[in-house]
Amino acid sequence: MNACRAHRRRGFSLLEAMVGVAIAVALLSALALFTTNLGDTRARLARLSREIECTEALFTALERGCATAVVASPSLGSGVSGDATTLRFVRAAVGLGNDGRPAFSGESEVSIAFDTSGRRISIVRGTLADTLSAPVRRMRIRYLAERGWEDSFDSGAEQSFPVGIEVALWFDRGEAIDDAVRDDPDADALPLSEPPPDRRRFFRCTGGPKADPLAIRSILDEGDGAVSGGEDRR
Amino acid sequence: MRRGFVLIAVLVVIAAAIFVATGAIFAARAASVSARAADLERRLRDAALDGVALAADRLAAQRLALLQGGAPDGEELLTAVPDGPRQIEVRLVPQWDGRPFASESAKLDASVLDHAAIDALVDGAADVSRELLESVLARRPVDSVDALVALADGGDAGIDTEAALEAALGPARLLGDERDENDEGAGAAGASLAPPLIALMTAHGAEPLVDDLGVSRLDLVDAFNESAAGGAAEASLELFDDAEREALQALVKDRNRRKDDGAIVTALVGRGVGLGRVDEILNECTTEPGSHGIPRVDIVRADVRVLAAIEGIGTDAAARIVDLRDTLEDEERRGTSWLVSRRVLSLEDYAAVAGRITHRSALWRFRVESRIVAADERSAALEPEPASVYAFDCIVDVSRAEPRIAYLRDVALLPTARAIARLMRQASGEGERASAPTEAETSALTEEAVPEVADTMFRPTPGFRAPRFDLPTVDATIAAPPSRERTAPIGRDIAAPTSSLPSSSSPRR
Repeated sequence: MNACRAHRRRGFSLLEAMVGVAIAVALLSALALFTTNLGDTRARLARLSREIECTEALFTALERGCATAVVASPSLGSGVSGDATTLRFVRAAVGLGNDGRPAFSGESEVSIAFDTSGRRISIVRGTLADTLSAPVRRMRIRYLAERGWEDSFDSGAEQSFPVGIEVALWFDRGEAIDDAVRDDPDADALPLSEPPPDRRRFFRCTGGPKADPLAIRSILDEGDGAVSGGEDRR
Repeated sequence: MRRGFVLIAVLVVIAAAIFVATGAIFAARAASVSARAADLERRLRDAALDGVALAADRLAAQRLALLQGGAPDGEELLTAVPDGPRQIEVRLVPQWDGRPFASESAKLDASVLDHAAIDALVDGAADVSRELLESVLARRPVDSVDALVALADGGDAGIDTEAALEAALGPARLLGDERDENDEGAGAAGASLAPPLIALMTAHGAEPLVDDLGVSRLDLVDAFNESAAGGAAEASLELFDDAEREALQALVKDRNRRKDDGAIVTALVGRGVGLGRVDEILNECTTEPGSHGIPRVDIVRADVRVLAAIEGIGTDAAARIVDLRDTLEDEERRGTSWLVSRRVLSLEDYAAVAGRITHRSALWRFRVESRIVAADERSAALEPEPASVYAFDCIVDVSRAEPRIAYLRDVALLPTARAIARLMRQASGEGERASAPTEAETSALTEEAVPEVADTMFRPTPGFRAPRFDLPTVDATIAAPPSRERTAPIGRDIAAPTSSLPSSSSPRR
């Protein structure tokens, strides 16, 4: 009877305790790793989601502007004007009356600008301004005119539309991401200071000068070195 | 006791978990629906722009027929793009007269609008139509007449925006479900209803100075001047016989005579030239420089109100033109001199209006609308897509070999703008009995007023100010153009209506 009680009080053996501790440590390590990865993944997904949303907002504004811009408006000025970091459209569209213009107005004004200090892109519709949430390291706008690429364009002065407008975006993802881009074998041919843009798209202006699509692609290739044609690139 | 406490605690935890999970599910669902709606809008917009190009190509394919007085034809359905189990249909929306294309030359140009013309145009229409036309008269030159409502001085005058919209655009110009609800108005051809102003007036009436083959018309002034100077225009004048040449030369050399199509008619008929030949010469020659001449009205397609608004025609002659134009022979359709041969106008009256009328149209308006529809019965049973429609109003000029998109306007927000205007009108009514509607009132008003667009419409915040229709006025005085001043077309790709255009004085043949 006493021997039996003594046996019950003996507890775990050293081996059992060590196995238990090892299992617990392994489980905790796995849990910590999982939690860390989950956090990183969530942060990356959130960042990508933000970038996608901002890019879509920017590209939608550009698509709409290029589709229905006017060369010049008597009241609002040039229809397509801008430089490497700013772009302004005057487009024919039904106004809602909440942008400083009358309701049902015939034309509306959309401006796109990159704030280099704040590293944000803003889209201004009349008096309403939206600042896109994704941080952007650089934005480049180029204008394909009949004589080739231009860094600035004014349809009122030119009395015509450009063939199209190219917008390239480099998102601000921190040094780690930039290093990852530089490690990309596809980017080896590029100078370190000019990695390929994260997003790039070419927008044709409806009613712009007629241009052979193959010629446009060729110009795009020439204009961007190793970066492939007018495709959107993520 | 202790068991009961544990049971309640477990139930509370389960309820909280369900609450959180439900919230997360709804948030994810809302994000998903929002993303789907944005993506659908993009696809619809792309499809509608493709439709604009297809419609322009369709007009270009019929260019010669159009320049010879024909009207474009073809199916309303432009294309159908497969979109998963459904498809995106891109259609031409019927204009006021029920046809997919409307002639811009069948409308009175805003640049020639005056009070007498307004009286004729608003015959049988609501008073608000007169107000809108008066506002256009006060704000010329205008780029387009599509934004008539915005031009109206309705902010403080309390204009009924709904009525203004109906008078300006008519139910046939509304979009999607709104149009379906008012389908009895579309295609009614104005038999009993007054047509909307957009069917009566245009800003794109400048006459392309090309003949029925699309070749630039011979500028008689330049041709005779060059010929006198020994220039190459001598060959161009060989298309006239001696009597015609003498008559036209006398016209050109007489500096005191007004030089327009009417003067050509008077000069030629005075020399015994037949009316059929006069039509031919008017088709191939002009006294106006440039690519476009002063606006003219297509008498074959214009509404009786538009015809009556032309100075020199009047109500009786307008009604007679409408009665006779469906009975014309093919030969008569090639010009406008049938007004004399059919005894609608005297020769003197015809000469007075010959420079303001035409028998054809090179500018055609259409609306392209894309919407998602079920491809078959099976897909009709699927969960419906967010209700959406995208549309563009477009005017295409086929006077050039390449069709020119003279006007392109995104009208997808037309229902939303209308809903806001309705909301503001109701809110201003509320404001009369109270200083300002509360947020709760505004929300209730929003849901009650525009349930069909409640998902996408702009919701006013307490700080939002109602839009005011108070565009600054410009000088209403429009000087009549001198006879040799160029008239430029108006269009989205043409910035300055008074800019210089290349001369058309080169020899024709």
